[in-house]
Amino acid sequence: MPGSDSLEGLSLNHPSHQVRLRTSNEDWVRRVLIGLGCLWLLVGVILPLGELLDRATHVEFVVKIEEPTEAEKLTDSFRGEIDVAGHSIILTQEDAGPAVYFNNKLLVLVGQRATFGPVQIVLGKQRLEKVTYAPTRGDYAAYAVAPIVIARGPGQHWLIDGKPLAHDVTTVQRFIGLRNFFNYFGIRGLSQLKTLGLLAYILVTCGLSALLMYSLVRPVPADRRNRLLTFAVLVLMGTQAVLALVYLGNHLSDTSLAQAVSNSLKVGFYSTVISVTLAFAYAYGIKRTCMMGKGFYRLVAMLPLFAPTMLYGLSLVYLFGNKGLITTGFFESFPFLAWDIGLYGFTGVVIAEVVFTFPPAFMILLVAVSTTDARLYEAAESMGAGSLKTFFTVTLPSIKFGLLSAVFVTFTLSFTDFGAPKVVGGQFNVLAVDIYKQVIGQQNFGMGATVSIILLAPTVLAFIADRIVQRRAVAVVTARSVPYTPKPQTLRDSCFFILCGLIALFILTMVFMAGVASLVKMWPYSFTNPEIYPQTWTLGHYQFNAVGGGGYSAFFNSIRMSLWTALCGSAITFISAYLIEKTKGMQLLRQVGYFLSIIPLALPGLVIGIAYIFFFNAPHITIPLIGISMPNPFGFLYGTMALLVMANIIHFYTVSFLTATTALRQLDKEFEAVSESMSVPFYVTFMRVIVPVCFPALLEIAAFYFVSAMATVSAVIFLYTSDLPLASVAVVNMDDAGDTAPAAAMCMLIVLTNVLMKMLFEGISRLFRSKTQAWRN
Amino acid sequence: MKKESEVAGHFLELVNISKSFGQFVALDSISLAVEQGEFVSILGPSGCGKTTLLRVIAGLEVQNQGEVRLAGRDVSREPVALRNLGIVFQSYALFPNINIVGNVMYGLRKRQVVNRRTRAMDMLELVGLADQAHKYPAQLSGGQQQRVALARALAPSPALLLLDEPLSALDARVRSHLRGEIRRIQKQLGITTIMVTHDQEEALTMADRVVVLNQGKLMQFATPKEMYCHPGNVFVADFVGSMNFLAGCKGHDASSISFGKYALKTRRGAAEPYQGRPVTAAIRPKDIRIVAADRKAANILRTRIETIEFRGASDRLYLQILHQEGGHTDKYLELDVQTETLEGISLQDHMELQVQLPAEKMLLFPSVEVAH
Repeated sequence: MPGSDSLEGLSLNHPSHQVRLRTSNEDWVRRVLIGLGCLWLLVGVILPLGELLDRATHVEFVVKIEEPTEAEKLTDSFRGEIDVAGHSIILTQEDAGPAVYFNNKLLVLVGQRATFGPVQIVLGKQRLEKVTYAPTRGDYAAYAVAPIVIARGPGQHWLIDGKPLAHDVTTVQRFIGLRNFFNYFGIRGLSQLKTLGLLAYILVTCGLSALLMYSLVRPVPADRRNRLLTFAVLVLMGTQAVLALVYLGNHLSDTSLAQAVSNSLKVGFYSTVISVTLAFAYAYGIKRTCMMGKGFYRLVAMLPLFAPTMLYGLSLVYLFGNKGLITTGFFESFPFLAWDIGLYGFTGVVIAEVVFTFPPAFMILLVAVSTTDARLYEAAESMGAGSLKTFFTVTLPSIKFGLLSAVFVTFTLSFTDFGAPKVVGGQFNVLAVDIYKQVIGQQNFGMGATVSIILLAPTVLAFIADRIVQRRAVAVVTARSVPYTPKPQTLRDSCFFILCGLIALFILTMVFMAGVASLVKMWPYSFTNPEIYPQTWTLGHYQFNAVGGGGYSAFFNSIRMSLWTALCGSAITFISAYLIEKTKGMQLLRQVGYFLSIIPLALPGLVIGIAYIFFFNAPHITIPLIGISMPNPFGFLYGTMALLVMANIIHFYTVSFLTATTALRQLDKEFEAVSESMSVPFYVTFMRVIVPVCFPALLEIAAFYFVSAMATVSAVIFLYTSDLPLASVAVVNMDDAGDTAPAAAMCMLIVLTNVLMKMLFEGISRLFRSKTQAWRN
Repeated sequence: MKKESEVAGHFLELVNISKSFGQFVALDSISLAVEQGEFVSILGPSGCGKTTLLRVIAGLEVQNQGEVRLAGRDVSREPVALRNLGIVFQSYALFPNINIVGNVMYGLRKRQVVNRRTRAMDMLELVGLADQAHKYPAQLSGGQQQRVALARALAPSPALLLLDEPLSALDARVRSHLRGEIRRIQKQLGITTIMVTHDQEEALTMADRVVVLNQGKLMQFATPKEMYCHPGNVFVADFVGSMNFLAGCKGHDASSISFGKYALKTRRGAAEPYQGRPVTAAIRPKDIRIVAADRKAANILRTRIETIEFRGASDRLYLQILHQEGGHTDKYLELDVQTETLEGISLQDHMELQVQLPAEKMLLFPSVEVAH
């Protein structure tokens, strides 16, 4: 049955059955459950993203109207206030007559009218009648939007743009298209249409020029050659392209904001190259050599998974920061060793990202390296290929899909990471930190949304590229493949032993340096001036007294959140993976479900976080495309633990979903058919067979959710509230406040919790395996 | 409904079943009627649609067109659960975390069966595994697992038993033993059974009747003996047992055909439809006789031995046919001889040999390209 049940990719051509099976009640249960799964992903992913896009393409103005009651009018001179777009317009009844204040400045009245800056005011009898606000220079100048008209309608009710108000405080949205994006890149003085047209024009002319260039060098039979014409058109096109670029350049002003884009790309590029190279060498050492200590090296490589990325920043600060161990030459004990690498900025961020992205790259490459057919190597050897040739003709081709996957994952992670650049970035602005600054610092949500979408673009591209690559990947290992077993080679083995040893040592240092430093009473003075600070070691930083962030209540909140994430996450993921993987028919529904389940992989945590504030905080939600607005039914989640848990589940959904799918695919395909033929409902088989058999995979998913939720900061930094502080957010806040040692202490608590939890899960898994040895083979 | 079944009289009936996956036609308008208590094998090369046919009968796959009738009832639109059948899959699909007796009990519901455990133990007794009841599937051998799967399928007393290549994962010795076992149990319970297999020996030895499929089309539906002795077409002739084809013959008169300069007699009247038309003659290797070089009789061909293959009880000779007047043709024959009959004669490679194609054993088919 070729391809009949394939789920990869979305194909909509549904075979038209003339005969259809009668739908049983059980089918309805499945259908409803899969539908619910799709709905959950719709609410968790698609609608918030829609809201994000909405915010990026609209500018919002807050309008607030306040009027005194008749009773108040008798005793007070206040006659009304309208706040619009941050300006306040106040009308009072003075003895001399009405007085209108604009931002607390008295305006000159001309008859019953006053005009100042962006506002036009019309007065009625002892009251405001109409206010028109038109954004001007210096005041949302970048947005050429229609003026906002606030006027009284029939029955004395206030109308905004002719529509009645729901509340005294309302927001008015104006569509601005891609204006935010153009502003971000500093394109000024061009209309949007012109800019878009120009961009399209540049693309087309550059593309055509490249094509013509290619056609000039391409070998063509002599009779079909017309180089002169091609050349002429090329010159024309090339000139056009250059002219268009110059024209755009004239309207381009350098913004520090756009700098963040190139900074992020640079970080992503360098981290990817270094991390994938190191991870490849490390994986190669473990799988293809006979060096010692492989088990230990494997464990060490996984360690960075357990820590928030701020930890590497903090460790780097203690090592290479201004008062760092190495910068000061071990506190001037060895001055000749002093080495200032210029940590803050690009260098520091890249080092931290390399450590952060090492485990995923290593895991992917380890699988890729271990699934190589030894027979190919024997063949290469028998044909007398040298080791370099063998590497390029056998090793690289067989791991290329793994390598590409590792590149995409590493790039996405380092490009979107927030924690490390926040700590060691300094003046070096990257997109992720920029979003944080826009939203938390400047409360500019529109720009925050814009930057998130800019952050999203390369990750989505990487995601799509990865999907395409993985679809082309065919099984390199067949049932007849022979696993490669390395033979001892002293020189190679010791080289790899040293190399992997150095990498492992570096990882260990990066994970535990901050931990050691968190035990020091006063870094660095406890070492440099022991006479003033006699006590060197202390656990004091672990008390979190007199520091912000929430201390132990934040820590326990994080644990609670992670436990809930592990519990709900593994249940939801596993059940929906089961339904999508093991249901017959319902192709369309399952494909939609699969597609929705894969999407979260492309979403950086920050994007999820910011989309969630928009979506769950909005009083009304508008269904995209239809444009129907309704009161937000999910608003009650805002500011609750449930929302944090939900954000975490979505953030780590795809990896867990794929783990579950893989586990389910290893089961016998006919379990469902067998139980169906015996008229046993699917949920009975699910509980009695599928769950017990897949229990180890379930534990693995739960552990992954717990550890990730514990360490993540990006998805939750916008969503936590002061009632619900979180450990990882506390690290950021303490570090912001300069409390580096308590921040490091909190990081260590997170790492220790994760390590303990992972060991616990591993223990349960072992226990389960030994108890069920009888039926496992 | 009851009336209908009496009229139709068949237990399982397939009417014009068609099924395609995209462009690929898996089943092309197949009609069959199976009697109550019959054991029917579905045989065919891989990819011929036999498993699809089984899955359509089961309701695991939905036909694009056609009808499935079970005991006179149209079940085309019923899901698997309502068709009252037991299935044994190629992989057995035993639940690994439930012990043997639990597996057999799995489909028994409290409402229907008073004592589920007794029923399960009875079934295990039937397949001879009652002493293994508390082991887990992974602790049993392949053959034992297969029998457990059978017991589990039979436990809820289904009306129809479907076996999807039940023996293909086993080694030869276990397979031949289980063949007998399955047949014995089937007869004992009198349960109508459909088995898919690609092993013709299995199909021919076990089944009451055999269905041969090729590329989604029904080739022949007949008893094993009929299938072997009177294959309905070139495909069946070639697929079931081994067969020599002499393509390029021409019909001469009602009971003879010509092959090159050779005149070959056939059964009386067998060549009637082919007079003056191209025809393919076919004969089984075991039916060709070696005759002494000086013997003169009908249907004798001159051949030369290419190779002799030792096959235990018999030898197989690969022969190239020679022209009557010398010089070799491009046609070959295979010939089986009992080893003991060869003891008198010393056969060697490249030796010339006269063989006789007995007229009564020759089969004639319309001339089409024989797949070789």
